Amino acid sequence: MAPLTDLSNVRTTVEKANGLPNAHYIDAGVYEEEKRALLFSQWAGLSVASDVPEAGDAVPLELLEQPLLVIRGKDGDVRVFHNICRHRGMILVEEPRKIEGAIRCPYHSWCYSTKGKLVSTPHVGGPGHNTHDAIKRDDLGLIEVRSHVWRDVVWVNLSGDAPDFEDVNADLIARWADFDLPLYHGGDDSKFTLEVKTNWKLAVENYCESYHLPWIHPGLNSYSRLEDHYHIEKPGSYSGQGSTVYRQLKAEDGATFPDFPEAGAKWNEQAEYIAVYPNVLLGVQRDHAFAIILEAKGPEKTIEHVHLYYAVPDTDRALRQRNSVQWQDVFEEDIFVVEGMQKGRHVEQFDGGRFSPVMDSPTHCFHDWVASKVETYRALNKAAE
Amino acid sequence: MSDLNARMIAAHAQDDTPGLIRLYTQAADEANSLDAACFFLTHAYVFALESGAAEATALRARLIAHNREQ
Repeated sequence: MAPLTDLSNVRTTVEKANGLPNAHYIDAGVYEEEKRALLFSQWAGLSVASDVPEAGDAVPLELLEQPLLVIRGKDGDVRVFHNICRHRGMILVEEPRKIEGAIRCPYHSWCYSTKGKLVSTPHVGGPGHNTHDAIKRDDLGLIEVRSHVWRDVVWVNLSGDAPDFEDVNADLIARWADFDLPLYHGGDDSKFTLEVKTNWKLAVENYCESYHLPWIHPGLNSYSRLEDHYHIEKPGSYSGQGSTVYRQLKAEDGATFPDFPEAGAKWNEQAEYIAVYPNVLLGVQRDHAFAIILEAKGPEKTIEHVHLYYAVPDTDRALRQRNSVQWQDVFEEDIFVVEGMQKGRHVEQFDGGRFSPVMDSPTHCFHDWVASKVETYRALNKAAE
Repeated sequence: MSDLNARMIAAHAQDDTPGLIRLYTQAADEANSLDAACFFLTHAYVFALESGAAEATALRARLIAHNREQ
């Protein structure tokens, strides 16, 4: 079978490359392919651990229509399971809630511990007989999805066969070692979602380059000019941009958020904004950080889940709210761009576009990663035919 | 039993888990066969297990004693 798209012009130098073909943004077949090549088989961002702060807290979610359950066990560890019973595949948890004892399937009441162990199979051997030789509880626990928590983001590898998270992201973890410090989610006023009519990849592409900043975020021009930014590129792993003139938000009395202790003077005026492939956008600054998880809801719809973090658990509420509003304003300024590019992908003659060899290399870095993963996936499928 | 049955239905309707544990245990105690008793004990146990109620330990022990649980 011929490949769904021709990626030969993507995987070349930025001077010569075209962007990904239209089908990667609008075609259901390519979306299905990318679902496996880019999200299920990699370490994808699912949610944040702060959503399950206490033991027993459970949140049902979907990753590309796959029902998953994020739960903090009684041991304090966050785990991710398929949110279905091993008996009849019934959804176990419909709404976020606290599991006080065991997870009981609402259908026939098979029960699981918060670590996923099958602990009760009522009437499985007939009325009042709760065991049967054929039902080995040790073999029928909830299916756990490989997960890893870093910077509060819960990352999952659905296929189970990606290299370890810390190996895949070793370079970024080392790059931001200064910020390997406790993060405190700002709470309900420090999270918001944006529903955007775009393919999730366009949100990545827009985030990781600084080229658009003076045009789309003119408010930055007075203190953070284009020349104050630098590219960040790690082929195969991440790309983004940095700023050398980070300016702290100040309250009327001049107060600022407390710094991350020990982050170091290097970060006094420096900040970095990195897209961790596939779908997580992170930002670090001396006094706060953020994580954006891009939830793909089809080829042309994305929900952006934004979370803001601070260096201490208790920050000034008014200043925190101002910060949330400020970031929301910035991210909303990007919406017409990513929605406009999405509409543009319906022009059949569009060739994927050409890049600025100087300004667009972080985006090209992402396209190269997408193309390489899709080509690897196609090659594996072809070999299996 | 019909009164007990009505109270069980009411407890189900109100999601009254402590009530369900208590009423199913009572039904088990009043049952006239081992199978019927274990049927009700199973329900009491499952609701105790789900809610993290202390009764779960004793209910499980009763089921194990009759070789109905592991």
